[in-house]
Amino acid sequence: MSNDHTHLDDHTLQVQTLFVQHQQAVLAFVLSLEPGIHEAEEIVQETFVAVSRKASTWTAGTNFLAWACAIARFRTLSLQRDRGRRNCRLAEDVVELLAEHAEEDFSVFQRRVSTLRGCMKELAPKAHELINLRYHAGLLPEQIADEIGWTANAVRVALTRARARLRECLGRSGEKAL
Amino acid sequence: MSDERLHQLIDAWRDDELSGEQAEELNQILRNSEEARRTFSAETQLHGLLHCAAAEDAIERVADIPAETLQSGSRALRVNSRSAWLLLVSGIAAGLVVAVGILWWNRASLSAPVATLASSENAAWESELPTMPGSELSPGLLSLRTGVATIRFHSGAEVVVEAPAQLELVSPMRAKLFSGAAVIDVPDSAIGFVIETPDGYAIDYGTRFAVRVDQEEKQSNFEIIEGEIAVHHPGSGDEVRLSGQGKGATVSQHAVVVVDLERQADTARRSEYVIRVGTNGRTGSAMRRDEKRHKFIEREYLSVKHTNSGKWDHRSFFAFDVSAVDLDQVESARLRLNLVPSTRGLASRLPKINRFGIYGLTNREKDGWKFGGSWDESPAPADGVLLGTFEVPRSMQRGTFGIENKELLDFLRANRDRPVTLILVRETTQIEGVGAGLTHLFASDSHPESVGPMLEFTTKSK
Repeated sequence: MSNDHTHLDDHTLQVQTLFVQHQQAVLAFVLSLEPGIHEAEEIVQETFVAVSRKASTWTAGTNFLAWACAIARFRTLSLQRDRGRRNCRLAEDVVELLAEHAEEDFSVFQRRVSTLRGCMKELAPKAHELINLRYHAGLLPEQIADEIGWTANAVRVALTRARARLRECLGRSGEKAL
Repeated sequence: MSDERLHQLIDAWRDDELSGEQAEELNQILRNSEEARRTFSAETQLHGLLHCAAAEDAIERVADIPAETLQSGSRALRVNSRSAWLLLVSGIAAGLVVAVGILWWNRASLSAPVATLASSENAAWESELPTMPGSELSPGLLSLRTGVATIRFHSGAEVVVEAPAQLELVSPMRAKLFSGAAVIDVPDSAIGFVIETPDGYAIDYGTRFAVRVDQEEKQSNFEIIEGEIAVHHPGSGDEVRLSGQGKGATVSQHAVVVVDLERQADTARRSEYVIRVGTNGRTGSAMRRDEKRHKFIEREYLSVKHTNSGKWDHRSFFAFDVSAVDLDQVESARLRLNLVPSTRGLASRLPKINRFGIYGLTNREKDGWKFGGSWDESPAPADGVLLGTFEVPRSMQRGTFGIENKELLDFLRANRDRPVTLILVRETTQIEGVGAGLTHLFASDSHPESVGPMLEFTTKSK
């Protein structure tokens, strides 16, 4: 087993570099199946290792993100199974069905993130802070409530409102799918 | 299916609040409706995109912070925004995730580390490998003179070694125990993990088992705590499959002898060196905010938290039936708890060293506690006596902890006639800062990977 990867060839290096470039998109994809941010980051890390190991199965010129997401999908199912995270687990057949809705075009992903960042700037400061605590710091509404002295319900309502505003803003910018 | 119901379920899924039943309901809705799948995908994609957008924002903000602000420390940042420091830290962390991966990978190609030293308790080493907790370990020999060390193989297998012991790391899926005792815990990802001894080897089929190499007697004892292993005897080519708690095998130069430790409890225990007693599923946790317990109290974990205000406190308790152990023959008793990673809150809000207390329940009215009971119904430190404390550095997310002292043994002796309940609390609180502090989680018997609370007795005669 230790001899499998003693030799790091150019193709593997190219795949690793591509993965680093696409990492955020892979993370976004994983988050659409595993909502926990810390778990999702761990899955991306594992995916990197798996991608490196399977580098030879990627053909240059094909959609890298689609290939990486397929591996990430598998890692996600396997981590959720190992952790017993059955409560947030989608059934495997449902994950399959959802696959056709996955966005695997990297340029679309980049455009959406940059539009979304613009939209976030238009939020009221408190709403912006809530979005940051929820999505960047990875805190759950309960924890945010504890942090800022609101009730969890107030946090939930405010987050729902902020998300609705962001979705609306994305729509105005021509991102109809969301 | 109503649209409103779907959105409720999606909200709950996103915030990790879905019950098992609701998860099934959500799966069923998604199975049946293309429209629902479209809605779900749009919502969950936004979830991912928002995380990425917020992270990019934070990284850019870090890049914009003037150098003098960084030098003057976090105080200046906190003035700008309560969450800035948190964002700074996690922003950098997000950027580092893959960088660390590459480092790991490239190092793997050179010297191929096979495991990480997850923890060491009072460990003294005589070893060619690095022995700082957190060290990446390449193939080689680890010699443990005193203490206990936990080695986490990259395959996911975890080996807790007790001194004196010599363990050779061969690959992520293979190790050799030359002397000493070890408890091996193998999750699904590492099924097939092989532990060799001078007398034979065992292949692990997803299980926890203990192995002790007795150099004087020239034999190895394997004992299953849970699951299934195959024990091989190279001399005769025999393979013996063992499954279920209490099953064991002794491998010597001549043969493999299967022993059923459950059935032979009386005779086997008398000659045994170490006796382990688990809780048999009798574990529980309570939190002061009773109305939230259905969400935060989980079967798999013993959750423990203490803050200055106390309003988010958690404590845990577990019971052992020690009636089958001859406590008069016991020399020492030790309580073992396995810390497992927690994503609830931030370790940076904890003091560097966290102290935990173990109490023995003496209030007989609380003996009948149940899993899922309220804060007031559950056993509390005030219902018992302090037996001992142990410390966990905030930097550690895994490892074996517990107490071993006369107070514990005396308490067990005095209360041997009924199941003994022990109470686990965190005595230290949080430090000033931003973000929720970490809730410590220890494995219960239901934990998928780690062993639940365990009492270990050492007997006088071998």
